[in-house]
Amino acid sequence: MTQSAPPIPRGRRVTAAVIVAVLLLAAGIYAAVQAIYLYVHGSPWLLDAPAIADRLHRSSWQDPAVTAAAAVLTVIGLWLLILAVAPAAPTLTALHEPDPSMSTGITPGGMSRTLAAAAQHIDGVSRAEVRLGRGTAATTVITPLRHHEALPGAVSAAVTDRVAQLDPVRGYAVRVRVARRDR
Amino acid sequence: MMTNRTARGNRVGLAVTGLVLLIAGGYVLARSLGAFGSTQARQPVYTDAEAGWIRTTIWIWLAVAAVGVMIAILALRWLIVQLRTERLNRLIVDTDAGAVDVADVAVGRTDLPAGALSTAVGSEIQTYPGVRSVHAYLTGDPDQPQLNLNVTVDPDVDVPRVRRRIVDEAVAHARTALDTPDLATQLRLTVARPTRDHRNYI
Repeated sequence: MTQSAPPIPRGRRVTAAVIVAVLLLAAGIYAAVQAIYLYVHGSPWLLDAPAIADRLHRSSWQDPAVTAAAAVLTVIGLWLLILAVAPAAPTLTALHEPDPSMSTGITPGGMSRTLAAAAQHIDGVSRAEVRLGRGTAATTVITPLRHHEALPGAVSAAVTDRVAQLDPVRGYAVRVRVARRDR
Repeated sequence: MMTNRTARGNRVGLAVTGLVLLIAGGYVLARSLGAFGSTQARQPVYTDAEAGWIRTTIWIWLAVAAVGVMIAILALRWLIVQLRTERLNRLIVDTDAGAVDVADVAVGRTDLPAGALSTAVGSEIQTYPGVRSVHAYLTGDPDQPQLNLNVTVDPDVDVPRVRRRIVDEAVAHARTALDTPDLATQLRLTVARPTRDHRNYI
């Protein structure tokens, strides 16, 4: 049986999970400590219970503060739910791989750096930067040249060539913007 | 695989937390905006009846404490799971019955430390020109491992060429060593940041 190529890994939502888990841990411990204090001493720890009870007693459900707090909770809840349900972005840009048991990908940052390096090679380019969007590689080059009419074509060809060499599964349309700046 | 388990766990954890917040917040919001009638909306959040009930029902605090401890334990477990690695420490390799150079041949299979293979593959790739650093490790099942190669290359290197060398030489050697021509392999390429003023001016 031939082993199939491993799938390109996707994000694992570790940051969100760690933040939510730490907050839940803190909230759980805090609630437990307060509840035990209340059970044993009849009053909470470092909190003015009568004042809080009085405050809650005086505010009605339609208080703007209650509405605002509820709205914040609802939005956070909805956001977490979307984060959980929506598919995570792939962590790599997949490249065509002829070997059936192998998968190859390049990090998005790596992709834009190697494309920028390709643009940098063109005569007259002093600095190049590539931003990857959905299917586009927006290239910005800085040149000291006054007459740089030929630059966009040359840069575009070099970047397109580098993209073709890397052979990503989903290609990029190369766009070039030239900015003139004296060194 | 372990990582997939962690990823799935994170999704479930976030979804459950989000759902609880959404339901609780949504209920308060609806009541606050008068969805259950204006009489309910004008009522205090904490009524005298509720205060009286809590004063007489002392055990409620034990229940709250228990729920708090449970949430804390689950959250702690959730945090620890993030540290789980999918790294494989040993491999099972099918060996020929006639092989004489293998020490502990048991029913034609042998145990290998995974580190030996990944170190060998890593140091081989490290020698290729244009390669900055390599991180090689194995994941998956001991009898069906996956080779993972994280390779950082110089910004100006001929990436396709390095790729070809990795596949044709390092990966091919690993496959020969394990006698698995179809060893699942994941190559993850990164391009290093250009070092200061290493660019060629006109």
